[in-house]
Amino acid sequence: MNSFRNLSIKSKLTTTIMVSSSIALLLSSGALAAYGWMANGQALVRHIDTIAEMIGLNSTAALAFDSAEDAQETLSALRAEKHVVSAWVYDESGSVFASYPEMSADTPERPTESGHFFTENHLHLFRLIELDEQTIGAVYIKGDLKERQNQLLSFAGIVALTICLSLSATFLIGTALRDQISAPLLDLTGKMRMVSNEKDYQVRALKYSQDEVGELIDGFNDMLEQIQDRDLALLNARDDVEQKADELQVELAERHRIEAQIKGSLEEKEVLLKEIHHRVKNNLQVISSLLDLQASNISDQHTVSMFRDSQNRVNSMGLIHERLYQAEDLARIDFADYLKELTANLRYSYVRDGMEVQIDTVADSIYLDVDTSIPCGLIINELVSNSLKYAFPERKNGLIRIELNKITDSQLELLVRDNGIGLPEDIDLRKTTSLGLKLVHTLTRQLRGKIDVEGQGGAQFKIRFPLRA
Amino acid sequence: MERIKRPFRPLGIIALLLFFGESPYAEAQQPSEYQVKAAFLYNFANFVEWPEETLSDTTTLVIGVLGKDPFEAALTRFEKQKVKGRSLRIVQSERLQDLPFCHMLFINSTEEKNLTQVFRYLEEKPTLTVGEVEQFARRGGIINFVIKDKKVRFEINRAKAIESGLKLSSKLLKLATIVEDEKDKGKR
Repeated sequence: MNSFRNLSIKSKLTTTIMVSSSIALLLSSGALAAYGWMANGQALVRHIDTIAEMIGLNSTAALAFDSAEDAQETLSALRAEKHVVSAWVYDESGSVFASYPEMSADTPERPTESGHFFTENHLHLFRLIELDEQTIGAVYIKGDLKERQNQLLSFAGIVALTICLSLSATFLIGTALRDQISAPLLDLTGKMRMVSNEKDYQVRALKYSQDEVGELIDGFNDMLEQIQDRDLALLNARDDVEQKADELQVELAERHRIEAQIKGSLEEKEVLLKEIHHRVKNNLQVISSLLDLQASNISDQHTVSMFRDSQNRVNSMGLIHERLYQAEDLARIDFADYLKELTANLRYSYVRDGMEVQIDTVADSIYLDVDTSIPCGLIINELVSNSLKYAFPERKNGLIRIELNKITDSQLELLVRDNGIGLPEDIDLRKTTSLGLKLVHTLTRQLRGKIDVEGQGGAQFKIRFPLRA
Repeated sequence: MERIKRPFRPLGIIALLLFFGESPYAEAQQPSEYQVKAAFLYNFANFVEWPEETLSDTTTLVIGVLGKDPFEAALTRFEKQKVKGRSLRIVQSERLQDLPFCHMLFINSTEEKNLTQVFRYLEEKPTLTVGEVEQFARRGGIINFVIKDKKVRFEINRAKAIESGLKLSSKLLKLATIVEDEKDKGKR
């Protein structure tokens, strides 16, 4: 059954047609043969029965008048009957009255009533002979079945021939009909292969009929159409995506270009800024040198001191600009570094031979912008200058400490302290005549800070100001 | 009947047979001439058709025996049987005038000298005449018994039968020797 399942549809159809036709033919032939056999037997019985009746009728007188010769003569007419093998006529008492062929051997017993039966090769039929409702004898006929067997054989021959012819005709007609069914399927299969092998979705199967196969073909074609549509949609989508990617690429390039431009202009600006800082520093340095030159021509010590103070103020600013253009970040400077350099410069300017003073600076990792650095630097410049000029008249064991601490994230505290002689008790920065302290006051306000001054046991200035964002 | 089966019974039967001379078995095997003739007479009735008018008024078929009855009981035993649905009646007389209408009349050989008178008397009557003397059928009778090869056979004068209004079966004719009237014989 499995092998049948794997046959092609063509073979399946052929096999189905041929097998069912053969079975139908064999069954009908078998039924015909059985009917023929039976009908033949019945016909033979009827035929022999007629003969028996005729013999019986023709033998009544012979029996009645004891004329065996006449009965014998009647029986001898059976020579013309090929179906009759032998026959006997019995008289009333049951003895054989006449027989055919004459002197026939193996005489059967006289039957007691009419009837018949079949043996392998013969039909045995017997009939009572009656005259005026009285049994006066009997006839017994042995019929030949060879004829029937021969007829069956020739029937079998005819059946075989008919089956051969019918099957040939069935095969021819079946092939034609089968192609009606299989051709569309084969065409469909071919188209399907074409689609699956060559990915050609443009092919369409031909529709031959309106049956299930036709429906199948319609479905197949619909499917192909959908696939094609989807393909087209996919292609369009891909094109869109590619176009967008190209656009993005262009945009990206543009951005890169702009970025580079910005970077370039930034670098340009940095260079420019550095240059500006450099020039500012140089100009400040020129101013400082001019002040220095001017001072060297003045003999009055007080005036010279004023010039030096101014020179230091200019230097403290120039130092900031120097730090700015040297720093990586042009906006801010490392204040600890600046403090060291600033205090070193002040020490060089004010500390004379024999004067012992130590300046400590603490400003860990604090970076300040230029707007904060300049006031801060000037404040420190004024306070340290003041300390160095006035706090240590003994010129011994001087200690100046400068601290810049971050109190909170947004507040800084600048502490400048010395262990010198301190300040007068009634000092008020707003009303002082000292230019330095006036500057400190003004610069603190500029920083939006608050100043806290203590003058006992050395001077201490505590300035708190907000850190610029 | 059961007693017959006992061992000593056959002895008694044999004794009886010896006493009566003719046993029923012997008769069945070798019937006497008149027994055969009686049976033939009876059987003739089966193969002969009488005119309607001789049968319509009666349900009896009459067989007459003219002269001495040579059949003894052989013929009368058929009286119990029926032919074609009619009962048989056997009548016997030495004188023809004493007999009623007979469908069949057996004429004993002893009546040979009266044959002409008899035939004249029966002329145009549908009586099947049966005789057993030479030339019976040729002289005006219809059926005549003859002995041939030790067997009872018969001659039939077909023309006479037709003349009498009787129809004889072809089967019967087939078994018989067909003869013609003496007077007609010369004409042909």
